[in-house]
Amino acid sequence: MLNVFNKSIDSNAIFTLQSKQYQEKILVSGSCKANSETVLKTSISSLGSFISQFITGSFTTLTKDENENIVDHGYNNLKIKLVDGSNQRQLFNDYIPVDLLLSLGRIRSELATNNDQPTPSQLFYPFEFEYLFGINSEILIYVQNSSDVAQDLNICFHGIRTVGL
Amino acid sequence: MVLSTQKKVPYFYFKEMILDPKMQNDIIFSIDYGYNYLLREIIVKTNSTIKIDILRVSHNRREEPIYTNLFANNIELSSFDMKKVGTTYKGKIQNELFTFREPIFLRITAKEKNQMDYNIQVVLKGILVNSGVQ
Repeated sequence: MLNVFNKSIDSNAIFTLQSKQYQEKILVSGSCKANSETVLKTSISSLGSFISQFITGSFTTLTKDENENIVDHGYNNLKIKLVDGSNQRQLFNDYIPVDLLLSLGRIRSELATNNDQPTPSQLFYPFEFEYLFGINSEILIYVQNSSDVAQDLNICFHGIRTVGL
Repeated sequence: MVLSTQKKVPYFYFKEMILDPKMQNDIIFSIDYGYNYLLREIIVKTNSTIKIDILRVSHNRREEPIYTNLFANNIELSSFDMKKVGTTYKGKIQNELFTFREPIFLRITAKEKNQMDYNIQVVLKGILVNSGVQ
């Protein structure tokens, strides 16, 4: 922390730069119906390009028991594939199980009726994902759900917005 | 700034296989023509408690196989719990470049030969680099 005093901080220069590029987090969130596929997407918007640096995410692990009650058993049923919407560039070679990718990972769901839900995962480390999404493009996430119950999925892209590019 | 023509893009490979622990098993990831692949991390998940070795038999072949958990992020689970969610740890950084002429080659051998067949899921996290070859 002492290093701060070795440099003079030019507030005006920082404000000028910050007005053009600043930290932003973009959330892709949604639900995938039971035994089906869907596409979750979010727009980068016309503000400017977005440089993704890290990804974090969470998902639910629900199923039905023999009495058709919704229970949380801690088994992953979701697979995803990430695609850049502007040019349909596929960034994964195949659908990848979310439990191999995402941290924090599994979260509890209010829908679950069982009291013996496994402990949810905790945020350990965002994984590195450095990619430039262009202005007005979209982030597409193709999702496959093999469970008998709809699953929720949240993925957050941590990065920098560059205004006007 | 480059957009659709970005020379370096993150790219993740995934393969899931059922392997025979009595044999030496190979998983091959082929790289698209004209691209190189900078391997950053390896994530491995297996449903068995047995230990496995992964050997890269590429240009820098190792003499001895190395335990998975020494160089890869290893989520090891008990049998029949393949789908159970573990914690995703950050893997050890590999920083190894593979060219498209030479696929990524993982050789997996079980330490205990009397085990039943086991599932394995492998994710390679890395960066696809356009090599400029037409």
